[in-house]
Amino acid sequence: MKTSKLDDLISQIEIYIENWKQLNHFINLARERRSAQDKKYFSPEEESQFLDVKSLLAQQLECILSYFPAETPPISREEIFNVITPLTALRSTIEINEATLRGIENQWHKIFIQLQSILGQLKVQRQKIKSKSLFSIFSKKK
Amino acid sequence: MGLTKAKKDQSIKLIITKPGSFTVDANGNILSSTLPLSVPDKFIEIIIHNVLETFLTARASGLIFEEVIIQFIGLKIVAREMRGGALIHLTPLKP
Repeated sequence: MKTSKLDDLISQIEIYIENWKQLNHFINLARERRSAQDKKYFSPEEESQFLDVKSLLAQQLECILSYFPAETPPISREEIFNVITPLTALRSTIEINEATLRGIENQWHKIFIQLQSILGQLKVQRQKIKSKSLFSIFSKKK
Repeated sequence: MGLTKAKKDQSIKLIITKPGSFTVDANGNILSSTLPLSVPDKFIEIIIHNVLETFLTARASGLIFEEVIIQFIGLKIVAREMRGGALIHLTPLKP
């Protein structure tokens, strides 16, 4: 992979991770509201933002996967959908029982670590390319 | 600043009729979007430019903005910082 393409991919995955964190922010928000005494409900704006975060995650995943061979994706599309799909809306996330929510959170965390690992691998790859090109510059000078 | 330019843009409330969001990288490239294609690129460019510049200026002044909210008469923009890029939510507001 060319350095520029690699940089694009790294940037895409970094933003994806940040977006993935947003999903966790909403899960925590739902949990907070559920345990609150006055049981505040969600505004249409919050619901809409939650829906958009999920949509962006699904869309951006396809962009990221397009960089890799279809036979060997670095991350399973299905695993990501298993986290996103049960979270239909914030108001229904409140009603999910604690055990199921914990299961979703565990899966969220597993993917979060996987994404960080992919990012790490790509950064190593970029470092290697950079040091190779530096080496070729110096060897040419000799 | 471009922000004032955007404020004066009277067509904002006409352009956005449904909520939508998009993500941009640090260079201002859109990575994913839920906005309809009918939303003009120029309008999106103004928003991206202003949001990224706000985060950049804040950082240069030693401030870390996690979220920026810009509210016009007909539109609310919520932008969250993401590694130099941003997640931007646009919500039309009823007058």
